[in-house]
Amino acid sequence: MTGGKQGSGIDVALGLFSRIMIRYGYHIYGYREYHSNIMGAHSYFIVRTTETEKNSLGSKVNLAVFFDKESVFGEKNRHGELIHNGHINDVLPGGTLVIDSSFDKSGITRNDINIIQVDSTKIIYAVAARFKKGPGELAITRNVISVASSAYLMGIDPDVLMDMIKEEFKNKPVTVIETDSEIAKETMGYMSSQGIKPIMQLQKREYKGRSMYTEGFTAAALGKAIAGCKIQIYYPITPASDESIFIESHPEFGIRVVQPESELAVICMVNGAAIAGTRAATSTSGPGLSLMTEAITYAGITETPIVVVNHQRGSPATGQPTRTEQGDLSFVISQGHGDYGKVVVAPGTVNQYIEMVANAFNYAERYQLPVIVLGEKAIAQASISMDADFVRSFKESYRVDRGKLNMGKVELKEGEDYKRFKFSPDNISERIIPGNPSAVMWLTGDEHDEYGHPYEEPKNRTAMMDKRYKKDELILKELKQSEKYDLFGDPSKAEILVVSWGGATGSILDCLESSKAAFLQVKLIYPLPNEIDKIIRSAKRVVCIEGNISGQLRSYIASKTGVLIDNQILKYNGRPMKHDEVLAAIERVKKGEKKVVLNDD
Amino acid sequence: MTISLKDLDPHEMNDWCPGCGDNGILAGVKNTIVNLGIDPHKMVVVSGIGCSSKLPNFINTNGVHTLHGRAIPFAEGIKLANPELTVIIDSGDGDTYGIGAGHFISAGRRNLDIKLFVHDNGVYSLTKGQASPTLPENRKVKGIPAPNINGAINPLELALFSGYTFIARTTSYNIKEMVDLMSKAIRHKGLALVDILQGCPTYNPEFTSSQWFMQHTKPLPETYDPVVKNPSDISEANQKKRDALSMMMGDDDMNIHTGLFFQWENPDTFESRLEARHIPAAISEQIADKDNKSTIDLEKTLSSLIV
Repeated sequence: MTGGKQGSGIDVALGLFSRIMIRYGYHIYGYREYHSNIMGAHSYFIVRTTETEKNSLGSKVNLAVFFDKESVFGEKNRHGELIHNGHINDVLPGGTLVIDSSFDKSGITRNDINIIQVDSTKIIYAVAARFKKGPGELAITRNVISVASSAYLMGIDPDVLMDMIKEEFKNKPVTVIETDSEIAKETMGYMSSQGIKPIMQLQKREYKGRSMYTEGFTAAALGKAIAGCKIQIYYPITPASDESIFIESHPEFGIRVVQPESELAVICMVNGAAIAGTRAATSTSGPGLSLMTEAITYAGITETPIVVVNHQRGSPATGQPTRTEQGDLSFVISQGHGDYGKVVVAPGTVNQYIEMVANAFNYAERYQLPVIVLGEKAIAQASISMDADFVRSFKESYRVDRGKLNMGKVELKEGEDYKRFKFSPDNISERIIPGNPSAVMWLTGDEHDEYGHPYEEPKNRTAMMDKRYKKDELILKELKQSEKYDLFGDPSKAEILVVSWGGATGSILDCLESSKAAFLQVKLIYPLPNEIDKIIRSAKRVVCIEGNISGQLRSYIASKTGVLIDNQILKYNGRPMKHDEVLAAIERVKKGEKKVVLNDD
Repeated sequence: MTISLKDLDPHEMNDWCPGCGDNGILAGVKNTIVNLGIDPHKMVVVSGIGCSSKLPNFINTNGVHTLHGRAIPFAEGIKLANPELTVIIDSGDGDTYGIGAGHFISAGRRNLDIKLFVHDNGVYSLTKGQASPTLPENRKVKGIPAPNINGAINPLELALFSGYTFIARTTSYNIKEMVDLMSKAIRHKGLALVDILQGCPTYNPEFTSSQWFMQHTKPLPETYDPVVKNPSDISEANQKKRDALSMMMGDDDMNIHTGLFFQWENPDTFESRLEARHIPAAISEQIADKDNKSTIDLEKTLSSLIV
């Protein structure tokens, strides 16, 4: 764990440390916490290093490095209220805390941790003098000192550290690499000269050369690229913009990225591009999605295939821009005025982001409707080591399914108009796009006849409502089980069945072995898979775990199945669920507690 | 391509009021298509909400009737996906200059090759005649209980300041001038506005009659030259903008000019900006092979992510 003032290069330290662990042959799971602020507010990250793949963090760490007092001892606002209580409390007993030499150790009350002091100023002065720079210019390099001192304490090979500095800063001027390498060397030399002994010798494992340092938003972008998305429209919003910026930084995708004036413009442009025959998408968060509502209903009534990725954050209103929450489920399943066909899916891990975002485009075109991907900051801004072969094999297995899109000639009798909304037994009509040489098409947000002209006749209204709304049945029939839900263990045998969705998934998976629970991850949220009912009814004891206050999935399942799950574990403090707090809460539910609210930082 | 007016005949019954200016504008659009020989299959008429916005349903081209105020971004999305299409917008003054004003301004920053034909009658007719953003302050029309308490905006000035590269005004009664301006607008490479002062015999008969327009409008002076001769000459373009502004600013409503105020074939269109980044038009890309496998080559991206 490390951090400091926002703007002090904390993300870079996260990337650098993660790369070292990956090069050492380990899996990483990293996550950052920051304020909605550019400079000055407190920000930190944790990287969990493991031999097998993990998808969440624990509540405490073995090693923490901080060079500012506020990070270590906590911070209060001008009213004397706590901003945070200091990361000294986050170190496990027996763990190590590295702090600056300038700190007065006498205030430290913990005697169960190992405290090491590093003179970061001295290191910076020494390197600054060598490069004839002012020390102020190198103040930012405390991020590298954090990583280098951690590497030293973990017994990391200095050559690997130097290689990873080159890798992390490969797009920066060569002088940055030179100074940062020198800072790293100086740090390691300093620690050695002070007689500080490494706390461990991290074993080097085989590195197959295929691990990608990947964040959730990168995975979403890769899913879009694989699906053949060619237009991404976005309006800046935390934590979703990262995805669009990543796409625009990779012109090899051939995706046109446009940032227009508002979320209203965004979603209308996406509709327009989809109408014209392109796989088109956007990426946003709660407030943006709220603004997009009317035009999402337009995609619903005009049966236009659009994909919207909602990386949820704390809500309502501006809520908690930089924090996580699973608060949008109820909103998304009933988004907009009136009823229409739609699909809502919720990936639970970074890997699932790729698959489910790519599949979203097939659903959109096959069923001709809007598809909402309910992502979450807990996944979008989590970083993992992803095997490139996982992406390659997913891409190899993926099939582009454009449904009843007809790019060729349409058979029409003399004087006959094309029917974009022709009634058909499966409720899906042939779709053409403007530019078709044999026919023209009409769309309208009004209720319409089969041609797409406004039409208010009651029987037609009923038939059109049925056509759009009853796509549900076809979707539930056609989707594979793995697209609808994942089930771990046998709910009828396990002491408890955990039901969950989205960002809570990682922490539940990571404590599954210890909790001995069966686990149902609902992936297809809307329409709700019929199987859910039976699975829940087969279990002895059920708990629904989700990151919101009202238990949105629980209420939704009850409304569809008539089963109100007895027990709940909820978290709504803006922070992701930790695997150990989830485990403890499951144990409490097993012992009879009906509702546990988690509140770890 | 040879197109006749009959080819464009609607299969839908037009339900505008008798004498509505929308009929004149529909005639203008159809005659423009015939005049330019545009293939109706390769054309899309996009509209918002309101009487005017029913127009796509009354013409035999591709038609996309969208949401209130949102015709512009829909049209931009269509054009971004397929630059080969001729994309025009037929929407009202409330739609374009009121609820959709943000889009109207921002479209100027992009200069996409789309054409706005704005039906401008000063009222929201379909909701029974409330004041639109172009209804002058203190003007009393049928649908409002008291004279208009809001001031009016001048859409041409707004377009000029926003970056529109073609700005014109006509009336729904002058089909000849309308067809001429619409044709020029479509031939123009870039974002074009034709503001069409339009008769609403039901809710604003007093200030939008043929007679009222005859008394209050006049063509731009013959000596006035709106066209920037050297498109890469910014100072000429700026001078022409200043000239246009003085023609747009009426001191009273007795001398409303019609005609072409400003035209600058600025080569800096949005499509050219995207082409400069070598990102081809979306529709032209083959996204799947014959086995429906994704055609994207991810290796470059993956290797940039591999540690």
